[in-house]
Amino acid sequence: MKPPQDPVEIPVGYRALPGGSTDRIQQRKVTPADGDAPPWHADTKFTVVGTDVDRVDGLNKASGRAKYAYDQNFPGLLQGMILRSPIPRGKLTRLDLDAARGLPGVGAVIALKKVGNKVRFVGDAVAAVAATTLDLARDALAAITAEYDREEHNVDWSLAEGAPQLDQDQQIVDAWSAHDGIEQALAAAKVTLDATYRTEVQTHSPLEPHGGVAKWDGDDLDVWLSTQATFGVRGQLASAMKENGIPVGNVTVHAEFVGGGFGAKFVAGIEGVAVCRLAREAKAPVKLMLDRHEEHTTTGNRPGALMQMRGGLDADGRIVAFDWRSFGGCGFTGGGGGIAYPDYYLGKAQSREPSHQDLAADTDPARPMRAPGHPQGWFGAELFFDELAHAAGIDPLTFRLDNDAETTRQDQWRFGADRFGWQQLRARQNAPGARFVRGVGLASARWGGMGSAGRPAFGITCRIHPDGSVESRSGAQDLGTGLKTVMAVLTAEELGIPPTMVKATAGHTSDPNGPASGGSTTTPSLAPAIRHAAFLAGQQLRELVAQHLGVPQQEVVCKDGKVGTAARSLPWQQACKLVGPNPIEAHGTRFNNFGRGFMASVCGCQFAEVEIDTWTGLVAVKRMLGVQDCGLVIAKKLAESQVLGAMIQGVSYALHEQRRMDQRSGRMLNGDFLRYKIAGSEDLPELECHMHSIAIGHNSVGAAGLGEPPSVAAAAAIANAVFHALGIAVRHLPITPDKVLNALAKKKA
Amino acid sequence: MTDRITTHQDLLPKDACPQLGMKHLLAHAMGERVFDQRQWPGDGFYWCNRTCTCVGPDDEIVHPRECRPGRPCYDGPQA
Repeated sequence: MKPPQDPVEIPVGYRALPGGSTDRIQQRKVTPADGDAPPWHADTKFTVVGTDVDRVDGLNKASGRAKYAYDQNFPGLLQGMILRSPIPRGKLTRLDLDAARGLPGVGAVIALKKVGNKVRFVGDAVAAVAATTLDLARDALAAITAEYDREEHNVDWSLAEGAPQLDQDQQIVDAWSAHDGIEQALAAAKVTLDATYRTEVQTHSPLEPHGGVAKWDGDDLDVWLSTQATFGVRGQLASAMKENGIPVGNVTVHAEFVGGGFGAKFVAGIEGVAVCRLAREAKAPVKLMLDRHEEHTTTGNRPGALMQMRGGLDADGRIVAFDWRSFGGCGFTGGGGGIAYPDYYLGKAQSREPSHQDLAADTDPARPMRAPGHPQGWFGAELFFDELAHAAGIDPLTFRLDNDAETTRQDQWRFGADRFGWQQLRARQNAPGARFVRGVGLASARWGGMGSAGRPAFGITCRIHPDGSVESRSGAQDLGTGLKTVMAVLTAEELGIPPTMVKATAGHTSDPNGPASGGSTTTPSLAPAIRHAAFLAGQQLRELVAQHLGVPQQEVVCKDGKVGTAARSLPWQQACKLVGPNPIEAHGTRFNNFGRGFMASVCGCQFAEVEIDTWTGLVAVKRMLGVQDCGLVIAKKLAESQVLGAMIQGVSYALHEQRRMDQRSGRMLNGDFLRYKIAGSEDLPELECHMHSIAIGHNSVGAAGLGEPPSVAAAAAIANAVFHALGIAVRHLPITPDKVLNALAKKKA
Repeated sequence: MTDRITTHQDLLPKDACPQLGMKHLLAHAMGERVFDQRQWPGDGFYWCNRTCTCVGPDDEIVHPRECRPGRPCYDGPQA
């Protein structure tokens, strides 16, 4: 390994936000890896980075030219379907596939369970078929004989063994275990509160369901999957085909366009394995995409949560005691229900290790969903703190400013409150007896997502062609968040050309190694490699231009569409003619981070205004404002799109989404978009966001995660606004009309 | 609040089966800080690469606590 470059000192941090107190700039000494580009910092002047660049594949997506897994078609393609268990718990006692195999048009029938295997939820996969049409595939499923020994089941996680006892108001009644420090602090507190908060199971609803298309050529397998992890599922499928002796190198995964993924698409899933096995058995390409009901019932979910807190404030509004216990409402694995909460408010409060227990039920298991454990925990805690502050007569913003330990968020609170008009809106009084009442609320967000180098290190290929066009290629997937646009912007910035000259390609495992899109790490992990590839390719071009112009190579730069020195330069297109018949090709590497940068956590906050019809109980979110950092803002419009999308998802989570199970049959009652309501265009508020760009200085670019952080605060801010409007908290998401009317009746009583 | 940072890698048993899958492994985020008090790494959603589901080849649930030497389907270097 070559030694690193000499250390350099760079300014990191950010300039004062309007309403914020001051510049937050620090000098930081960093040591770039040998051959890496000089690190960008707080004083770097950008041409393309941070501007309103359009999504590079936006037109293809909007016009239908983008080809998703669903869109892949080949001659002789068969349609795959899965036979699923009708019972929630038991054992498979008989499986006869012969009749299905004998049907005309059926190319393959495979077992996904063996006789004697457990069945763990309604929808558990039992067998799969491939036939020339979906109708024939349905006929084949109907011809399969599957018999089960049924066992006693429970699909209500709140009734599971270990679940706490609840009163009629859904408050936990079990006593807290004693803790001297907390008891004493509560006894001395000015105000105290003990309350329980609940959220329901939220199913995954990406536009493109799980599934894919598999095509064999001998022992070589090409798979088009809707996935968040091209390289991950490639290895999984090879493992799953181990009995066929298929090495990983024989498998190529394609996911150039993905119709959304919020955490449920890291594993190929039984549908991914099934489509590959069906295609091998049928000796024909097979497509197997789940339908919406399968998507709701078999591809995971954000688990439900019960969260009880007790705490107290002193006379100065500081938290002096805090206690937490929670329960996650999970599926059959009894895992995945962990909950996080905003501990940055707690300061020196008396507290202890939080208690948490996951509860199992005979349903589809939990899977990660955009900021796992966070929206539910922030909803509970932020509403709890608002209730505490209200009891003490303290404004919620003042409470945050007095207790939030994060300096960056302190600036964001002040900036956001000013922009939102917090003071005026909070002071506004609803007319006594008014049918429609309004309220405003706020909540915070935190996330990690600083990115990593990967093992082996992530890479990017950059090519400069003699015609002046540029390629940037990654094998990682762009699941819709805009990786390709990030590639185009960073490459363009480094080479001094417009992003429209960069063709960015992602999602084929034949291209360089990249991460799964999870934990908001894709951009922070890949951005330095994208830049490094462009830097190295540019270096080769600069050498050619220096020789051609007879100028010192170290003085040559790529800037403003030219390559050369201040005195002598060539337009980009002319310079590229020096390249020759084959392109310049460079492989960029993702080096390790320098160490901790300006910050270790992403910060943000959101404000919401609601209007409630007190006659019907309907809540309408009228307006939301998000303030969000993510390190360097690379593409402003894309970044804003992430925040706005998260707020929309927050509206949906706060007001609508709830899986409903039938305890008797074990089935989901609302497994479609007719009865499982997600927010539509008429439910959406006026949305505004402000991206807070920060120079982190932890690598050559300094990007941090953005996919998940803005989804942490949204539901909490809405719930707090409902509390403000009604004067009584609704402690149970989603805030449906029945809960609002019950809360109003309780208040009246 | 404490200054000690726990990462997901800290919570993964060193002898866990290599076929054990989780989001943080694929996202190369095992070095990320764990913000809450979970006992096990990742988000609690685990799968087996050989089945691509939460149930292993032995028809039992996949979990870092269970996917260790001694399980019939264990596929680690000590198998």
